[in-house]
Amino acid sequence: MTELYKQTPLHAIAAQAGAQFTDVDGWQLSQRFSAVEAETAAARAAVALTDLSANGKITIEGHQLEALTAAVWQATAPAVGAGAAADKAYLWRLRPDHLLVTTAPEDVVATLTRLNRAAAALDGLLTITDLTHGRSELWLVGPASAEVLGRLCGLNFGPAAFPNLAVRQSSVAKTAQIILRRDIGQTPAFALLGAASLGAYLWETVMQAGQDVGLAPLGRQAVLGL
Amino acid sequence: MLNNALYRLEPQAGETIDRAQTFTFTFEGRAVIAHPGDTIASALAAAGVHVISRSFKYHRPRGVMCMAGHCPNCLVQVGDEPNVRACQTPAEPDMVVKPQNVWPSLKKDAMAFTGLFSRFMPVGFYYKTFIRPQAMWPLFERILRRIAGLGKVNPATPPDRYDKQYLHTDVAVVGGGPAGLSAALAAAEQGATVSLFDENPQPGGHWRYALPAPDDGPLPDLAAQAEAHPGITVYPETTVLSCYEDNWLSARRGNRLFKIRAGAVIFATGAYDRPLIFDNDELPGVRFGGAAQRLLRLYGVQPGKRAIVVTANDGGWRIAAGLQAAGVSVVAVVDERPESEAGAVSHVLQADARVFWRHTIRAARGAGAVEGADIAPLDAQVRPQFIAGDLIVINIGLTPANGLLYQAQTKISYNEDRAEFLPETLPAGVFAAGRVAGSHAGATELAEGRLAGRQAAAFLGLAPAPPSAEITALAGQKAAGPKRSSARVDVPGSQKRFVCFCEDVTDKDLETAIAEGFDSIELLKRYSTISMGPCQGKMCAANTIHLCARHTGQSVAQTGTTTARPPLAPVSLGVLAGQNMEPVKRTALDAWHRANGAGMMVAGLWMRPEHYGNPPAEVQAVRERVGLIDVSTLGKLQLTGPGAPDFLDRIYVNKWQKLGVGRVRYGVMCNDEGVVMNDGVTARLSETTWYTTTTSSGAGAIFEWMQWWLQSGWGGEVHVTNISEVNAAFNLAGPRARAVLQKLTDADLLNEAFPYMHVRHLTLAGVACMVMRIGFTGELSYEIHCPTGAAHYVWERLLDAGRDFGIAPFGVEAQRILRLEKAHIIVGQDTDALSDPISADMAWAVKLDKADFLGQRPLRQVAQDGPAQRLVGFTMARPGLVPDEGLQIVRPTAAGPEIIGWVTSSRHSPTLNQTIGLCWLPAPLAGQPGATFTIRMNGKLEEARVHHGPFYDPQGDRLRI
Repeated sequence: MTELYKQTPLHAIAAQAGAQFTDVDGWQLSQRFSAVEAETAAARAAVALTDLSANGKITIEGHQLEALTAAVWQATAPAVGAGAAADKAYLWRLRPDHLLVTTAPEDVVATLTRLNRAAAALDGLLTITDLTHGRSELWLVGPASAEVLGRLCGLNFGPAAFPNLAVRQSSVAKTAQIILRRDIGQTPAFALLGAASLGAYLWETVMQAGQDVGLAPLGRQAVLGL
Repeated sequence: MLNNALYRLEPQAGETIDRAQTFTFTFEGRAVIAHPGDTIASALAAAGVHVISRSFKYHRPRGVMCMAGHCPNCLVQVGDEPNVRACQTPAEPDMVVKPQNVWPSLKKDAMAFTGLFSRFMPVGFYYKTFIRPQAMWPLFERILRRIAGLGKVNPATPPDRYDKQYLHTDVAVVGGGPAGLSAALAAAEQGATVSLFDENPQPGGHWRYALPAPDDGPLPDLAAQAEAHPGITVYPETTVLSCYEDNWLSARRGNRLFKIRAGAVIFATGAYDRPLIFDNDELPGVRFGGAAQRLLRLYGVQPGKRAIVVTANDGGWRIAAGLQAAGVSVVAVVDERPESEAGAVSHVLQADARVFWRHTIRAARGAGAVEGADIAPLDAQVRPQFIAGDLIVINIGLTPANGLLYQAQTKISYNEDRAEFLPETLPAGVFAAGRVAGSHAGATELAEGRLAGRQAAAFLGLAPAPPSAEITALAGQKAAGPKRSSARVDVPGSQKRFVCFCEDVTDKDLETAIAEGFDSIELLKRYSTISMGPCQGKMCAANTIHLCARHTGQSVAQTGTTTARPPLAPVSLGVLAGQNMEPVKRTALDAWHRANGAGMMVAGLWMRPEHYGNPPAEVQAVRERVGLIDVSTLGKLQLTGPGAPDFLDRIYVNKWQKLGVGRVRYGVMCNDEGVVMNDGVTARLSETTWYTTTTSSGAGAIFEWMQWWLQSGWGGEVHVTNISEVNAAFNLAGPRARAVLQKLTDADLLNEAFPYMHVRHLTLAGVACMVMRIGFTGELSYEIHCPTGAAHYVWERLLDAGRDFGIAPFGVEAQRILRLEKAHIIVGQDTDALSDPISADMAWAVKLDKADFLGQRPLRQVAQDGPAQRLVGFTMARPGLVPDEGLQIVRPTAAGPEIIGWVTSSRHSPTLNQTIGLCWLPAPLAGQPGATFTIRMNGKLEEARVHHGPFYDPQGDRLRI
């Protein structure tokens, strides 16, 4: 029998763009589209777009968020609109009673287990839902990423209004997205988390918007090298 | 080829052209030599082409008048694009430029004869003339549309690329002249981020081309300072189109629309040259002072060979001096002021130049272009004297470019002393500086710019406010400055004297309109179309106000102004539309469907496979073997918490408290008027976890609907999470479905272990899935929900497993037939905004005896009164006839057919080999199985019969095998 595999919403587009795929925790991920050095250089010089939809995306709803984050990560939940690193995960506070946890693909199960175990020991209703498969996650990486986003969304993506580790919810290219800023080293990077079914549309629309600033696809290998 | 050396000067300081390179483009088929940096108009002017296009109504020859993109006189067709401003558009190699409003040629235009009949075509003539006889209007309209209009659009032109860019800035400065630049620098020095927008290729404003006044001294290079300042971003060639509430601006650069959010805005928009109304005032060769200077300084082109300068200020004399320096013979300077009011200016002229004090121009003379001017004294009725020349420079004053200030809700009033409309009270966060604010001298412009920059920074809390003494001192300085504008807007005459160059409206037209009663400035505008053409009032608005005031006996201040609406400059619809963004939803199997021959259809935002080539065969596969359909588009909501059953009880018309874990129930959801909103199945996965599906198009709306009620007080101990896209979903349907599924799991799938309307967690081919045994198609079927990322894998495994059983994928069309054979409704197709579930044959689902739920009261009323209309099935009497969905059901009466219902669904059933459908009928008729009624099809009445219950397997035995 064929071995179990998983595909992101961008799989067909990546294949069409000539991506070479690699396996990460059962996911078929775009390893590279062209020479890795060229992809890295494009991201550093201007802007590049990458598909990180396999990343874990877990939402937690309830009024016990502080207690939960303390129990799982011995950390304080970030303020609304902000994110914070916690162990191998990132915590993003969407509302006072709504937290988004992002992880690497291979850490989703372990994180869910820890969360569910801790939640069971707490009083009050806490709903923990793994949205990994339901959300695409596109990353715009590079110094021109804010400019490209500014063609699709009315938010201010300047460093003062949207600093590193900030989170906002807004319309991007007429679709509802959670926007995270998580710079990679000194390189600005914004992640767009939205409906998986709209991932392909969003990829095509963002690529079109960034055409004149040299927006290029970026593979996983180049991302890891940044 | 046209010789571009005819009017080209030696290199000029500050010129924008690169003389080291040349290229050619064509104008009306003739090659024109140009340099990089030339505009179309400057290259044409260098080649001595002074007539560029013809006018809108009378087809009069027109040439460059303002050289600033403000007037409509140089609109040309470039390639497929009409209404291109030749004076602003860079010439490019091989560009194909054509004049507009000409046939067959610019020189000999057949429609120019209309000018001979102008006395019969006053303003508004076509409103009155062509309305009778009414039947002729279509013909008149066709002819008028052919004659009128500007340029020609080629519908075959491929779309260009457009986009939008949001900008956020502390201070937006509109205008890159001396005031704007100094304002930007002052604000940036206080720590503000500044965006400066200028419509020209380089900032600098009139300092780029105008000769400085003697008092101005050396001009600082503010543009270079602004470009170098890290806090300032300069946007050249960017026209600000509008200003809305909260300092929200829109601007256009090329094919891009900027949407700008600014903390404070400084308008340093400058001023336009003001036309003087006189006989033949738009004859090619009549140019504004600014145009003459731009041609000289920016492009190294003589605007003419023999110039007559008409002025009312010292600036005109500087222009005359500049022309002389460039080798243009200034034959006369005509100044309406007495010599005593002028500065020490006359010495700048050569000895042979004639000077006329207290004189003005009465007429431009020439056949097709200026050959001279009639000059007359202002105070005496004497015969004008003719002065020969090929250039008439008009420099009698400026109109402040205050349209954006108006839009920003600035109070603007007419200043009698300055003869200009100037800002009086500015809204908070809005500042004005420079010529638009009445600053005339260079030093004042700089000071006012700096002050505005500091005020803007202070408004944002970045710096202390400038002392009021400084503001007062500046106001005094401005008042003491030289006067630049004349209050005189016209001189008497007897020929055509155009106020509006866009639409050929003359002063006589305005007089007539006012006499007809259109005597308020807003009415006058609408009737005469003045200020509604491509110049958007820049050339005509101020002069119209003066004329209206004179003819109505009011002051200019009493007459008021027209409303300056956005956009202030013409903008293409493509720029407003921006990048094409139409969200499309695709399931995880989209590529598979396409690769396997699916005909795709649009379903809301979704793309779905309508069929794989043969819907009846797909139906047959499901009825006889097994089929597989992608239903990932279904909405999927997760409800958690002990409060979930209470909440479901309130949202649905069904009861939920007693649904056991592992059971599934079909539910109907109504709004508070008892109208069916949505339907789907709900599974109880655990004591506190529920899984609800909605229609594909309703997922988002139902999630929001539930959230609304949760937050309105029904949200005790329950969370609703939209997991529509977390899981893909497939329906495996057909008598062999169990056998197929069994190949992928060790779980017991027999009826006793997994009965109809139950849910199970199964591992299929190694993937954890949730499977509901439900039956929209009427066959044994399993709705398989698996993680979306594994959708492709699971789908392929199901097809592999089903190969030996004759499995076939089926599309939406087959599904529609299958469900119709079972008489299952589709919400939104078989129901509408008035359909309640009792009338829609789902009374069995409505539990009126439970506690409060949405729609309970109106549904009680329906239950008590009985429905007026009912949704029922029907068959057609005539075989093979399939009525279109939406057709009317009529009852013949003596007065003609009476509409009594309509068809909502209809198909030919391949299983039953007959036409089946659903329709709304009056309840008494619907209640009689076999009763006949008529459907109006293509004008004929076709007989149909009422059918109750499913058409296929009425007892539902096949669902439970």
